[in-house]
Parts: sequence; C-alpha cells; structure tokens
Amino acid sequence: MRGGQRAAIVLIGLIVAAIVLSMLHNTGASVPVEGLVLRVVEPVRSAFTTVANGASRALADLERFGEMREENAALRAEVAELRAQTARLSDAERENERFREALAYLDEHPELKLLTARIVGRDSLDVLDTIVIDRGASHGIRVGMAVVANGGLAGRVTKVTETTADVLPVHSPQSTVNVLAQAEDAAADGTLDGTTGADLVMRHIDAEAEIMVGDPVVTSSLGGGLPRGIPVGRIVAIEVSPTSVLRQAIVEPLVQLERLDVVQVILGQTAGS
Amino acid sequence: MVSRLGTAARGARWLPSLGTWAAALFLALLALVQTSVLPYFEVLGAQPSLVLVSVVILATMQVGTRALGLGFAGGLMVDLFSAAPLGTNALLFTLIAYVAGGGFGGVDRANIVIPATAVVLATAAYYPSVLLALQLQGVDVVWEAHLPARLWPAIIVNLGAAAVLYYPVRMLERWTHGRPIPTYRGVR
Repeated sequence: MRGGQRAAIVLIGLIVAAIVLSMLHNTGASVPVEGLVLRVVEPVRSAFTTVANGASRALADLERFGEMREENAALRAEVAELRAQTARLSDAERENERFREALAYLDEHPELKLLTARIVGRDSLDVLDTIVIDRGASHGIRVGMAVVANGGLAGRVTKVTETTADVLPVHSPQSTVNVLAQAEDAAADGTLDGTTGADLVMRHIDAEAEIMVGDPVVTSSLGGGLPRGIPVGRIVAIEVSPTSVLRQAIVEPLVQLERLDVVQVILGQTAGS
Repeated sequence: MVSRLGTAARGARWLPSLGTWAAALFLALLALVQTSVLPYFEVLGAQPSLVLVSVVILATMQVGTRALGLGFAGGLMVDLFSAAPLGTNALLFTLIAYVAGGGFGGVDRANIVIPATAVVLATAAYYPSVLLALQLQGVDVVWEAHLPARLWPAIIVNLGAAAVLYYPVRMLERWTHGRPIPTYRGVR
C-alpha cells in the first residue's frame, strides 16, 4: 500500500473515531471514561491551576505596581492621620483621667476651694523647674497659693498674670516648704527642700522627734503660706549629721509633676472648715 | 541523531511506538498547560493553542501517518481538558495534521518558516472550523462577535507560540521518531 493511500485510510478511520466519540459524548455514554481520565489528571491540573493563579496574581500586581504605590501612599497618609487621631484620643483619655482624679481629690476635701488648671508650659531651660498653668489672677489665683495634684502637694504659685500662673514645684531646688513628719503618736516639724534629684530633703528635724521610715510628711501651717495637712510624701531614709544635733530625712514626693497635665490650685478654705 | 525510541522500541507493528506515546504524553502535558495555565495569561485577548501549534509543527516535519495519530490524540486531550464536545478538536486537529503533512511534502521541513506558515494557515482555518463544528453540535455561535475579534490575535499569538515551540518539538521529534527530517539539502 502506498503511503498516501495508507494515510487516507488512517485519516478516514480517525474521522470516524472522532464522530463516534462525538456521538458517545452527546448521548452521555462517554462520561464515565471522561470522568476517569479527568480524575487521573486532576492532581496535576490542580497544581498547574494553583501555580498559574498565583503567577497571574503576581503579574497583575506587577501591572498594578504604580497604582499600588499611589494607593500605598494614600494608605500611609491615612494611617498617619489615624495614628494622630489615636494619639489625640489617648491624650484626651489621659486628660480625662487626670480630671477624674482631680474631682476625686475635691470630693475627699470638701473644705478646700479648688480650682482645676491645666499645665500649659514648662521651664524649657530645666533650671527653675517652673510650670505654667492656664489659670491666673482673673480666676482668683494669688502668689503663694498651694497647688496640688493626685492628692499631694505639687508646688506653690510664684507668679501670676491675668490668665496664667507660674508654679514652683515642690521638688525644685528653689522650693522650701514648712512640713510635718507625722509619726504614730507625734509630729515633727521641719522644712522640706527640693533637690536636683528625685527625692526631697526634710531638714531641721528635732533630734528627739520619733520619726521613722515610712512616716507621711504633710504641710504645716507655719509661716501661713500653705494650708495644713496637705500630703507631700513619705520618709524613705533618716540621716543624722555628725556636726549637728538636728536630723534630716529623705522624703519621696507623692507627686511626680513631670507626669501631670492637670493640677488644682487651692484658692482657700470654705468658711467654717 | 536518530531516535532509539522509534522502531527499536516498537512491539507489535499495529501498536504506536514508544516514541509516539512519548510524543502523545508531551501533547497531553501541553493540553493541560493550555487549559489550566494559559487562561490566566491572555495575550492580545487570545490564548495560544499550544497543542494545535505543536501538531502542526510535528505534521510539517513528518511523512506518513504518525502526525495524524498525534493530531487526533492532541485534539482529544484538548476536548477532554477544556470541556469541549468530545471529538470536536480531535477531528479538526486530525484534518489539520493531514493537510499540513501533505501540503508541505517535498519542501524544506527543517526550516522554521515552513512550520510558521503552516501554523498561520492552520489557525486561520481552525477558528472558523471549530466555530462551525460547535454550531453544528447545537452551540449558539455569534459569528460576528467571535470570529473577527479573535482570529487575528489568535494568529499572532500562535505564531509566537510556534517560535517558542519549534525547537522543543523538533528535538522531541528527533528523539521519539526514528526517521530523519527531510530538507532540500538532504536530511538532518
């Protein structure tokens, strides 16, 4: 048989086979065989599809690179804005907390006439430690008034303008306050000086006074500057000077002013208290 | 180089040789790639018909009936994997292989221009044919929407696929088929 004839016969055979397959497909008879073949190739096909899908997405991402960059920039700006908002909310929450504490202090001391003020400035040179509050003479503040925070003495007003006041913190080296160390049965007078460190020094304590570590230190009314009994801190160490009969104590302050946003100024005491 | 998988591995004469099975396996792999991978990567709105292109290249390199069988097998796999009515592509690929094999008989078959030309002509014939075949099987074909929009992109994309597939297919042919490829200068 010549090659051409053989090819024609094979062609006719294959055409017939294709037509038969088509008929079987249309009647549904080939479905089981088709299903079997597809089941065999399914793992390979699935792997191919997964890889192709991934590659296609990667390619699409590459095509969208410029668009994604712009989107990224927009999202970054949005994130920055949201962070700023979060920070503002956090600040507001912290401030609310401070106000709540201030109100609590007010509740605990109904005899005191308190004015809540916000700290709006600090000594940028870090020499005087002075803070500035947003209340002044127009709000009734006068020089020498006590400033409290979180139930403890924070400082004293040293300068007043119509709308602001400078407060010298109790921990400032410039600050001296008349205080009492409250022992169990008695109290010892002294003066509390600020230092360059974190603690305060209570000086001029009578050598006979029975003070102990842990005793609270409060303001005394000596000198008439501050109301009596405002907590200032507690004694953490007692030192005896070899050159003096008086003792001194290291006092841990109750108020860490650098962490505060809000303080109260004691304008006075209500009548009859 | 002459294949060791051709006549040497053949058992009974009526059975396809091991080389032909290897070529069929290659076409099966291409059919899987064509139906599973390429739909994700359209070029000019068309996907290359890897199996069609390979069958045409094989047909232009061969004499005899081997390309017909491979065309049938390749088309059948495309039918199976692409959910086309079974037999549609099998019939068309067989016919295309027959025409490509016979039409380019006696010319330089080891030159890429011949398979490339055959691929262009085969694609141009295949698309209307497959639409017609589908219509005859009851599929609603909108000719004016399907044919003009897809034919030229398909021709270009298949031409590109031919450039990529020509040498791998030629290597496969040499490896799986014992007969040398005829050229105008003799055989290679």
